[in-house]
Amino acid sequence: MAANHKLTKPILADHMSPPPVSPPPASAEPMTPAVRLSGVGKVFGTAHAVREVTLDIRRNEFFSILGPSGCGKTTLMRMITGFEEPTEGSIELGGVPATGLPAHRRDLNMLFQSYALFPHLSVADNVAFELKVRKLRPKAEIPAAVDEALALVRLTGFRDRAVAQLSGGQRQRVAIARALIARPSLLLLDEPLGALDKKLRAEMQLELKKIQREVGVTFVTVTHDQEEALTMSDRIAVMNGGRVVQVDTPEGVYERPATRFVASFIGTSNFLTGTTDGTALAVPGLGTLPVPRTDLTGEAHLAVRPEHIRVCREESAIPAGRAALQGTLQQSVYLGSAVRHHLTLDDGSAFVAETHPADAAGPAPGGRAWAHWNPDASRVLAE
Amino acid sequence: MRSRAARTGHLPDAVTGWLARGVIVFLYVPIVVVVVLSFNDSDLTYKWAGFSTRWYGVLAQDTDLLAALRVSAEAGVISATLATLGGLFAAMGMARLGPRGRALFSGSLFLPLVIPEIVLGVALLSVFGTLRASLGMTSLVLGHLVVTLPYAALIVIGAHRALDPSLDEAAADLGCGAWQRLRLITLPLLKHALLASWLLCFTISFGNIVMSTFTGGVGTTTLPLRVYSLLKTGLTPEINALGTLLVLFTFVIILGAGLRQMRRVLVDDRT
Repeated sequence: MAANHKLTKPILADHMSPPPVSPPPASAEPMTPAVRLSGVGKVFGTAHAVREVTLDIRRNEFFSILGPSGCGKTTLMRMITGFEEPTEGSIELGGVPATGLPAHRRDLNMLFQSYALFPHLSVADNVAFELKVRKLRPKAEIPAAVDEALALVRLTGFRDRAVAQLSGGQRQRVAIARALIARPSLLLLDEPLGALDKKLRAEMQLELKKIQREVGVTFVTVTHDQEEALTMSDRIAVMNGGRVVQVDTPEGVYERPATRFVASFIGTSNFLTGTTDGTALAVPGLGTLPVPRTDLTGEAHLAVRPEHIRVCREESAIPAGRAALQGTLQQSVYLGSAVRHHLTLDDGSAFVAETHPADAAGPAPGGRAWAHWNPDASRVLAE
Repeated sequence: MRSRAARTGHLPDAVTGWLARGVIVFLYVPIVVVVVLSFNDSDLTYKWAGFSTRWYGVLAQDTDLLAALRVSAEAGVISATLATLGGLFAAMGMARLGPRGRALFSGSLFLPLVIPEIVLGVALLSVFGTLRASLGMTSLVLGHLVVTLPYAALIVIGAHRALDPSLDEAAADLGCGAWQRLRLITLPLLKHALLASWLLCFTISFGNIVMSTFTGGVGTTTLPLRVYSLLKTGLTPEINALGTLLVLFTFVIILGAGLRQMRRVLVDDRT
């Protein structure tokens, strides 16, 4: 990775900005991260699109920036590519400050949501574009490099096609081949699967992951689709309101959400609000529930995933040590792989449980029912 | 026309069909008449006296008329080229503006389209007078630019806005500096629009009378002005011979390259 073709060009020296105020401690980390964001923010006029984002993206990692539309994820990505300059903080790419470096001098490529294939060029000329422009290879070697790149995305034999002749999925593959032919250190993918139909999307999720392992390039994808992020990523940064609210593995953000936003944006969760003393949560109108040990005291929220909840008719059927709530079962919906039970708790709030269809039949709709779960499967959240 | 009438049912099909044919006849009668009368062996333009090609011979000897043709061709080529370049720069500059700046900019670009040309001509003549600039090819071309630039801008800006802005970003991402992006991406993608703009501007400049009257100098009488002045001394079929050659020339150009591009840009008929 040290032989970094774009950044070793001597012309770059003039465009380097001065080093950041506090250089990262080199001894603490054996490998410099692919991307280091330090307090990055972006203000458009009066709108604060991105605030105080500090995170490291490791080398060869499949990293996702996940959030609802308008959360600032696209702006964050455009600052990494160099299409936008941050108004606060600094960005380092491969240990080198990137402030003021224009997009065409950054050692990264981007996969555009619209693919942005050049319509006046053939597939081969699109794929070869970067090699020709940057003069990275002798002319004679370009056709072989193009064939290799097309083979990577399983489009062998498409080199002479016109872009207009390709399907959506094929266009995306050409765009991937074009973005990877010069082996950038980093590939940014803007909603990479957004324009594909559902079946193709599932296929491409696995394929992108496979390509990433094959080429050993750091992938950073921006998406609003939680399933996509969970399937493909090594780690996920969840964004909301311009801030990164949690950075963790897919399992981490799902099982150990840091905030109520994360718990509800990724998968679904039931929420209960009350006051905690560190071992239990007192919910007004519903009683006191055991919770996993927490340092929080005072007002807190409890998040429970529907699949961790069991439903029964009699209180006597609840095993010892479980948190339990009583309510009315409104209806049970058969989903094939699960049965979803909609309950109304005694304070009027809705509560959802999902059980396995093979489990013993639960209470009848319209009747009283108990929802219970292992306290360790729930999360106490401050916000 | 026909299908529309059939859909709305206001007029019987046959009538609108014949009307449509009538429009085509109306448009092409002058052209056919010019061609036929150019082979007229008579001194009068309106009376047939047998077939002859002698007026083509007379035309070949008419240095005044040929000089005027040359002036018009030169002014047309130069002003069409400059107007198209101006349209390109306007389109690229406008892409950098915000929505309000863009509205203001395009408004001021297209305003001359709705100002009577005679007003612009008088105004331009006053400008040249104030600057004590002598009238000649330069003033003629500048005058034609005032007329043609809005059209060029209209065509090129429209085509430029239709481009996916991420193409330019993709090119930057793949290593192109600003000039390379222009050469490798923007210009090739705009070439049809640029050609259409050039042809339209050339035609407008070539046929212009009003602006030429004000901004042409003594040595730079354009072809339309020359022909117009011949009205006073009497037209001969020589004019018809010239007209026939111009029609022929235009048809060759349009059929050769321009037709498809012109349609694609003006009618936005993407294939």
